[in-house]
Amino acid sequence: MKYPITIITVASILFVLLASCANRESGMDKSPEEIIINIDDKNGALLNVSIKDVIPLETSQNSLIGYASQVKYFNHRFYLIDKNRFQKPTFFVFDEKGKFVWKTIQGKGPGEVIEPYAFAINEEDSVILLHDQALSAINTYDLNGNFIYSKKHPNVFIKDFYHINRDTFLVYNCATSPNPSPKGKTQFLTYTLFTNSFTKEKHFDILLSNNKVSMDLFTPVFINRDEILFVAPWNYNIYHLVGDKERIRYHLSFGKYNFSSTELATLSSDELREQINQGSKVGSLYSIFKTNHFLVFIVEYNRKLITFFQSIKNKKIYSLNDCIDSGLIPFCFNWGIKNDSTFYGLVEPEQLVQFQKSSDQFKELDINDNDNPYIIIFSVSEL
Amino acid sequence: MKRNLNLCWLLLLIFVPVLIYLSFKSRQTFKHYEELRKDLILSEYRIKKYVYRFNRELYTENLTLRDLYLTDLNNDTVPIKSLVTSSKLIYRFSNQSCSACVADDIKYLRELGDSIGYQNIIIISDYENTRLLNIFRNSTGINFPCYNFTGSFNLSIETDSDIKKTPFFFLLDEKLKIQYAFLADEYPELNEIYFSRIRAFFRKGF
Repeated sequence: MKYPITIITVASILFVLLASCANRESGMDKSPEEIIINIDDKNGALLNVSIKDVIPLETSQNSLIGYASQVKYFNHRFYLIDKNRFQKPTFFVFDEKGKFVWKTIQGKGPGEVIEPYAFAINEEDSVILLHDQALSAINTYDLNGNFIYSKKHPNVFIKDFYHINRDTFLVYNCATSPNPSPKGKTQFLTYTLFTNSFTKEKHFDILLSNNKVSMDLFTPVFINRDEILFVAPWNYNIYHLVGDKERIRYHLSFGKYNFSSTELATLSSDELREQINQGSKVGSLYSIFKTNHFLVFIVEYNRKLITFFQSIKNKKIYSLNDCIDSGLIPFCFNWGIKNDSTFYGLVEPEQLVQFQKSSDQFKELDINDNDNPYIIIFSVSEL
Repeated sequence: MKRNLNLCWLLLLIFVPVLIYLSFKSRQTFKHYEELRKDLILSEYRIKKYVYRFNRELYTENLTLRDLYLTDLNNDTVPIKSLVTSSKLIYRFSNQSCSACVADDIKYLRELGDSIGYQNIIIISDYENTRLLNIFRNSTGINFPCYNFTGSFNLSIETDSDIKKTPFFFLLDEKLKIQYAFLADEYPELNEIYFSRIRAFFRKGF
């Protein structure tokens, strides 16, 4: 008689355990949060923006920057890539005061590069990994620019990459998917997770179809201790990396300015871009950041990049462009998070001169049009 | 019975190789036709591409450009009308254009400059600021007049739908009338034909 009772008891315990596991799983799979934005809102509230510092990046023959396509801050230094192909593409490092520290040299020797295209910072080991597109290799340097080693990876396509942990990298791709669409057409990958020294890969199911190719995004991945968020081209979702799986964490809704799923599936990049440039649709997400106070994302619309801040606390949406138009801050063409409360941004000298004149700030700075870009450090809060 | 069996074996020995040969041949033929079909699709695509490009050039021909205000290397504003006191070859490219393509076009322009005169060529880019234009000029070592114009020329040859921002050339006279509009091409032969016409134009002076 006791055995059936024992069996029932064990079965009940197992059932409860399984049910709680399922609940935990469905907790991770909760519906994406929809963020509704009115892109036409001309009377939006302004953010409280305060510029803390303006740092001139040393302008010398040895440290002349053309077009800085990527800039990151780590360990009191600024790291950036100059992808100007009329000069030699170069990876630069400047200290916190803007003093030039080191740069890569063009060549095929140890530590030399031909076309530095993207870089990642391994914060655990304090090393820089620099991807050379021409040589299909990743060079590793310490923070003082000393070359450590190089590793070739001829079959890995990298537009941008981020160090997740140990030997795991999230790579933003531009490569053909090994699996065509159900109708047999070519599709293009956007993100891949690589491990085992870039030998093991897992492609995410975020693909581009109908002759759409991925394009350079500015900072499409945000990583901190708690989460990893990333965005993909021709896509209104903000994804969350959970283990080795992607989940849609947020979905941006611009109302009639969103491309429909049919339009995204059937129109080519040219056709989509035409509508974005004409102001009839909002285009791709270019960047994603998150602080304790704001979720920040950048979209393309009407030939401009619009930066939105959404308050974590009350979900209110602000546009940084309104602050730029109001003269609170100059236009930054590339920027990131320095720490939780401050941001850094690259500003062209011409823009900074205009800002000096309109705001009467930083008048002590003697800015020449041909100086290297300046870095501004600024904080953002709600009024 | 044995004779019939031998006959069967003989027939098998003859027909099996023949069948294998015919099967191999048909696969070869199929492969050949597949290649031809792909070439045809590619040719159709190329024809459509060139028809589209030709239309862009054609609908630009004989248009009058509005008097744009360009920015020079000293960050001063200059009306384009003041630059074309006589016909000039304008080369327009975007900072988003393929830089290898622009580098190739610069090579052609240098050769052209040797024959028609450097003062007859004007480069107009769409860099956001003069610093980047200066860096472009210093990096390429060119000595043509260079200007920035970030807006659109509102010409068919420069359309919103061209995300590659293909560079293009055209002749502009003192009345701002456009002739010989040409989209820079990946095939050197086509570019050569165009430039020989430009040389002839400047030699004949009409």
